[in-house]
Amino acid sequence: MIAGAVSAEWLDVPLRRFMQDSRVQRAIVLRPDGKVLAQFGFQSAAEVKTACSLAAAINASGRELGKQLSGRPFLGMHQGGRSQGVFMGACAAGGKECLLLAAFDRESTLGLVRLYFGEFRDALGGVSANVAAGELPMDLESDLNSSLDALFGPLN
Amino acid sequence: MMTEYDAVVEQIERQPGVLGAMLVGMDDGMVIARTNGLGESWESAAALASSLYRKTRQAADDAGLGTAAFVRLEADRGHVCATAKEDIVLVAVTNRRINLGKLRLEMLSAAELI
Repeated sequence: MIAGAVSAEWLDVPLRRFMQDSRVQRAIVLRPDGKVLAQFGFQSAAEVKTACSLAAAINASGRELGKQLSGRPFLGMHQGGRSQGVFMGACAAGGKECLLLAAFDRESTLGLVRLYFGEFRDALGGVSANVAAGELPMDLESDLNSSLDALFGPLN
Repeated sequence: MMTEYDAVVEQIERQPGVLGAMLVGMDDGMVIARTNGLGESWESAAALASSLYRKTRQAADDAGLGTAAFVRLEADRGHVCATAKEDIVLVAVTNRRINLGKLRLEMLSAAELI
């Protein structure tokens, strides 16, 4: 059963498919600056906001670390726990970068998540720039808040 | 440098009809060792085969049948066979002309070498 909602229409089908195939519990798609585009499985705006902030920070740190270590930014991350794992991967839609952050338990595996993330990335690769556009150049916080309001309604 | 894991998958690939073999982590679905016969689809085959094995083992367990020792999936053009030692799954992809009885014995004995 998939809980939560998806905001951007062009992400609805690919993200639903990723969720169903990979059996992850929660997933969120965001821009590298932290703007949320879509989510499944999160129960509150506060959770989404926290996840977006952390994912953006992890991505920025990973990119810089990759540049320093190997001259190229790291494009993915996995953290495996005893019962839960977290995966983050970069993809592009309409020439703009997106990040997918997914949390999964023992119903899935890193291998499966990577496999279906590849299909998700391919699906987004076919999205045109016009469809994936339509975002106003606002600052991070107001941008994120407007996205969260669209998903959950205003925070109390 | 060849590892003990490489030796196990090569032992399986030498069987007539085997297209490729690999060792996959059961918990993460990631490849530990593989032969080259699986082409470019080895990563997805590994993830799916280890998932298949996990789910089948779970189903056998839930049905009170005990631990599934050997799993075989029959497809139009061949078979996917899997067995495991602790948390490592040994997977073989074969064509239709395979001697399944012999392969099963080879895989069970190879798994003991892991």
